[in-house]
Amino acid sequence: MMCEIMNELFAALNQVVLERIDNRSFHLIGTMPDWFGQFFSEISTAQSRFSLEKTFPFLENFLIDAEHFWQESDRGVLKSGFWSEPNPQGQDYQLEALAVCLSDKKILLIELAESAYQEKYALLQTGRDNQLSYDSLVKEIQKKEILLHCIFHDLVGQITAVSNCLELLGLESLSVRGRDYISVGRRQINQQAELVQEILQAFSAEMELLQNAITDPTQAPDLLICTQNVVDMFLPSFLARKKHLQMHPEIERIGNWKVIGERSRLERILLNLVENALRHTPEGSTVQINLHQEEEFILCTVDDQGLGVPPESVKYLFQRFFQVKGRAGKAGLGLYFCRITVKRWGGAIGYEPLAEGGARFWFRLRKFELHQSEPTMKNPPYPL
Amino acid sequence: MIQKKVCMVGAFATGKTSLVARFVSSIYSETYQTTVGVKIDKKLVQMGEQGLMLILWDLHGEDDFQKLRLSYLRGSSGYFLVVDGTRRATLDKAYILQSKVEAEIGVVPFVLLLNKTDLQDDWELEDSAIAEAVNKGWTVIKSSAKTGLGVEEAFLTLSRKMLEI
Repeated sequence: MMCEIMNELFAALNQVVLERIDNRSFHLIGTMPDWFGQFFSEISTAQSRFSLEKTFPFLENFLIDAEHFWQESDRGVLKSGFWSEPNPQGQDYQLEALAVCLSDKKILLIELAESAYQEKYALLQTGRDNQLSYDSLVKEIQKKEILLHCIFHDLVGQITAVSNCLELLGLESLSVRGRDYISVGRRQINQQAELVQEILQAFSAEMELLQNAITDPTQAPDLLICTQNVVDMFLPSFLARKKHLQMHPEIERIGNWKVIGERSRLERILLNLVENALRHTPEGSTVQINLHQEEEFILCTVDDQGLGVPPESVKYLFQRFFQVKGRAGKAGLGLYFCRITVKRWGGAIGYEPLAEGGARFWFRLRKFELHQSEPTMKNPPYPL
Repeated sequence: MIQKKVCMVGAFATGKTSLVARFVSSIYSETYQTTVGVKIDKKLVQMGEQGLMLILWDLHGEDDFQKLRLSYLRGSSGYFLVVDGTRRATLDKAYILQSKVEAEIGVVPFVLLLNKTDLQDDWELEDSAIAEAVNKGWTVIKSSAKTGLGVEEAFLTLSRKMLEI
């Protein structure tokens, strides 16, 4: 009576009990649960010998470990972990195998582990969904930080230029009324700069729209024109600080200077590099921008005559929030923005010290060929 | 008929299960469903005159919750390293896993799959990062379980490599 109950019990618990006969086969102990019958329909009596490996490739692997366990251990249980396998009708079953030793008998239990599997699944699913949501949130925050920095540059760059113009104007011989006007203008521009800070904090949804603006490949920017625009914009600032800014005199004014990219962001990259050079080049020195035609790319270099970047800082230069010690910039996002933007366009950006002293920041962008209607993203230029 | 064991290896949520589902059953689901343990599938592919039965071991993605059981890899004739192209960190994870796999089962053919190419707006893998893998001599294929791009090609490429040995 007791034996009959035991025979039924495991089947009721959705477990199949098997005894290892030899290296190739098992025989069934007790009653076969229904689910197992779907995999082994030919087994009908407890005396049948059969092999598991063909039907369950997973067990072929587990039985190697189980064999070691049976040889070496007579206590405890070895668990396979969950696995899913489709029955011949294609329905997935979640299973787990357990190896145990009972009175020198090598016993293998295979359990239909639906509820245990579901519990673990729910836990892992929640954990991983949360992790993905968190990662996505971090990414969104990063995008906004970059956009914030771009807006900051667009607004503050122009305010700085106007402020410097007013400062230069103040050096001219003006009437008393003229000086008053300049004083009013400078007060206003200072207030404007403070306002920018407040506006930046209030920005939210509009940033997203700007960030997602689509680049139209047919509107390829002209790097020569962009460079000239940036030079014109910065000249007053350089003059006010008794520094010089120039484009290399040998740059050819004719020819194709169109590149893969987008004009406003390209100008922002140049603004970042020239503004950095302005901060670091000493009084009386010159910052020079040069453009070189290469086979598939256009190389732009911005050279200053400052101290250069300490070697230990070079590898961090283009990372977020990085600032060279003792030479803080604005937010440590400028070069990071440059890097991700240039890379997104299939270009490259970098830094190298100049042999004669000073720093050279360079970037390469793929040429936009005049017959081209779509940007090409073939081989990347030199890696960072 | 020749039978080969192939493992899907990679960080969690890179699309390993979806790639197998696309290849075996030509189906795709937008919902992310995590894999617990191992999911076994089979697919017969015809390689010229030769029938090849692939036993696909879709291993759970590795993260803080589940570590890869290296014993699952035993007997593999090849494997896929699956990367989610919209999450740069999954490529770093792939490099770590490749070293672990090679230490466990030795040098066997594998393919690096840069998955989710349908999500171009969120793509995070820079050309230089991809070039780095190519320069190592790895076979790199861009794929999308959603559109099916590169999926058949990837499985056939690995099958071919496994039969060449």
